[in-house]
Amino acid sequence: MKTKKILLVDDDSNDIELMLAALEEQNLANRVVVARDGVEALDYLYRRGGFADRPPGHPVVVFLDLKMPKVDGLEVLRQVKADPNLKNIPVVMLTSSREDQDLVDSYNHSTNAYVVKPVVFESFVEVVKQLGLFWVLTNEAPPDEQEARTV
Amino acid sequence: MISARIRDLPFAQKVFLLLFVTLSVSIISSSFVSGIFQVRSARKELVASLQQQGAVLAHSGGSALVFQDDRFASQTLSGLAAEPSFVAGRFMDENGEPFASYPETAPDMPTPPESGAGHAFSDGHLDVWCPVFLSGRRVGSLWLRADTRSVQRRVSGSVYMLGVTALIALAVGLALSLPLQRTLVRPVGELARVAREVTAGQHYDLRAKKNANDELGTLTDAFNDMMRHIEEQNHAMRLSEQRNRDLFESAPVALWEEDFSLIKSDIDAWRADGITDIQQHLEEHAELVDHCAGNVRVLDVNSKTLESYGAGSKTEFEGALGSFFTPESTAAFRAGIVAFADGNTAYECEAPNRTLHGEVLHFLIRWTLPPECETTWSRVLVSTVDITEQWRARNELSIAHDQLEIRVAERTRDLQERTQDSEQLNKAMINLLEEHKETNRELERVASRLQASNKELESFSYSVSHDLRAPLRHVDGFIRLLIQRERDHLDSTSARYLETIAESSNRMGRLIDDLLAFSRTGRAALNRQLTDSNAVVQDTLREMSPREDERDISWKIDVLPSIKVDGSLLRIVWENLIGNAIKYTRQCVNPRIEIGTLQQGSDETIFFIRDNGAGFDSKYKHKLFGVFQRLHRNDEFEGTGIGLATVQRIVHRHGGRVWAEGEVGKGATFYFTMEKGAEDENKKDPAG
Repeated sequence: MKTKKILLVDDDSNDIELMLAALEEQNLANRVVVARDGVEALDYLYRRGGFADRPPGHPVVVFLDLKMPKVDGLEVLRQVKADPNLKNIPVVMLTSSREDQDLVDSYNHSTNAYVVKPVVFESFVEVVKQLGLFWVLTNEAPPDEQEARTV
Repeated sequence: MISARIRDLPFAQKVFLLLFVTLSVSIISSSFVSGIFQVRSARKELVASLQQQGAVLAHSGGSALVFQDDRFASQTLSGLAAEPSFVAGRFMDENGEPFASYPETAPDMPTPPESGAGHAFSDGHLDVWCPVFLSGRRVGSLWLRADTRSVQRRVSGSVYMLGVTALIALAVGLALSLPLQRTLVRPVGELARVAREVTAGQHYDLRAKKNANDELGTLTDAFNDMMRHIEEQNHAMRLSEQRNRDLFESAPVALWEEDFSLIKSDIDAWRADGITDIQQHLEEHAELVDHCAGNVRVLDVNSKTLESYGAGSKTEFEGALGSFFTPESTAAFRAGIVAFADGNTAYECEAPNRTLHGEVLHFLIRWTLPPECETTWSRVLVSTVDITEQWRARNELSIAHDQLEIRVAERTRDLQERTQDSEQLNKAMINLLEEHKETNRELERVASRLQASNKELESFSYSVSHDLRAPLRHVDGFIRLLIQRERDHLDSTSARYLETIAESSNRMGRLIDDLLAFSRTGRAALNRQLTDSNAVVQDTLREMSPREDERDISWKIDVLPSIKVDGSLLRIVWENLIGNAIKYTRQCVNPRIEIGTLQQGSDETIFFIRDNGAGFDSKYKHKLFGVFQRLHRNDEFEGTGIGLATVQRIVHRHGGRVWAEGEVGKGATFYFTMEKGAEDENKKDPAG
């Protein structure tokens, strides 16, 4: 049985550390693959570049930050949801921004969820816990069709 | 003078005279010539005969001379005595000395010619000299004298006969020429007579009788033609004159024929005196004008004239001529004289004249000088037209026109004033408009600046909402992790310090959120919809998950009306107000929160929320709604101090009012309205 992977896309190392610490409490940390920006995220998903050798199989969920250098979250979202091979992968926007415009844009690009990172750590931990439990354990991931091919 | 008298003789006499003179002269001259001829031939005969006799005698006398036989010589000479005309003879010797003479008493011999031969007439005698030759030698000369009686006799005889002949010839000639005279003289006389009769009696119907086809006949024909022509012309002229006459008489315009010749001669006399400016002269001497007027002779007037001036007859008219003049017409008359004097042949004027009825009428007067009278002014054609009606009408029109002009001037002045006023108004308006435009432009500029600044704010708040939260999150997160990790090693103070740090960063996060919300309430466009206030309040209550010590709040909520407001902003209002009410009743024993409305006036709904919590000091009421203003310390009741500021901003944006009453320890009541008077959702809401 394949390990269910979580793709965490964020450029902020602090946020990543906090996320991992929070996920650690749920024992989900070992399933996390980290991409530091949009390019890496797409490389992972398409199994190219630095991730060309990764074992095939989609992640069960992508936690996607909005504001990133090079290719930002919205662009990744757009590409993922536009690609027939990847569009079924659940994507959760996980971002500090609460702006309406960002919400609108994200949902227009068919994001599955939009979660604002709480400032208070307690809440942050709680949110992460819920997310992880839900998407990894509770949610039924779409079945893998063909392996994601390099584009 | 004789020649003059002869010229004026009647034609017949002239012809006779001509014939007589011609005949006489020719006959007499021919007689004379013949007479002279005869005399000369008589004399020539005499000379010839005497010379012949002389020659004979000389021949026989030669020897006598040589032989000095004077007796023989005298005897020879005596032979001539038989000749009746013989007077004397003499032989002369070669020296010219008389040799022998016969008769003894021979008169003196005149001087012979040098050649010794020749003849000479003198004083009733003829002297002949012949040379005497003997055998070719000149021995002397011979002188013979004869008297010319015979010649004279013969001459007188001839003359007598010639005279008679002449007379007879003359008589015969004159007699014969009489018929000729008649053929010549009679037609001429006839023509002359007819012509005289024609001219004397003006009988142009007479004709002369043509006698012959010669020049006289031509003359007669021409005369007759002329007569006929004249007759026709006269007839035509009479007709034309008659027509003119009729025209003149029956014309509907008053026509006069006047004679200005006396005036003209006066003017000529003045000019001769050196006066060049007739007008000035007449102006200076007004009596001259009257004098000239008096010198006008009326030649003829037509019936219309008489009618116009009210005269019964031409004599009546002429007699009253002077009374027609008025001062104006006198001046016009003077001007006309001047016009004619300046060489114009036409003059026109309008002048009042007084009629014989004493009425003053206005006439249009025209003078015309016919070309043939230009120098004499002996005939001036005058027409006068009664224009009294038109003149009156014109006067009235002129008066009306003047009045109109006055009125127009007045109106124009009025108008000008009003125009000036309105111009000033216009200017003021234009200024106002300019200011208005300027204000509008200013507004537009401000609006666009606002828009720009709003955009800036948007991006600002976007940054804030995203970028500021991350560090805060990190601070809190890592602090927590640290606390977790070092729980066992931390003393209470260190733990408290760490706790404080985390708390502070949390507070900062809350401040940021509240500030963002506050800013958004100012920026977001007002979307007024009919909103059910009950629903909003209930939603808000549900949202605000009650904390443990708030569970036993007793709520009294009235039915709230629907109002036309921005739903999301209304929610924020209730969130803040309800949140505050809950917060400040936390330490209350029996917390009680009431929500309802007051009716004051027909179009104003006042919402209120009352709590019986901590209340506030009324003294600081004015600080309630200030940004970051708090009336309690953070350790009493936490808060950022923006909530009420946000409420006020939202309420004000809706054109409403918000105020509060409170008492320390007793509670507080917050009131607000959302509509101001009539609905004014069309008004663009200024950010504020």
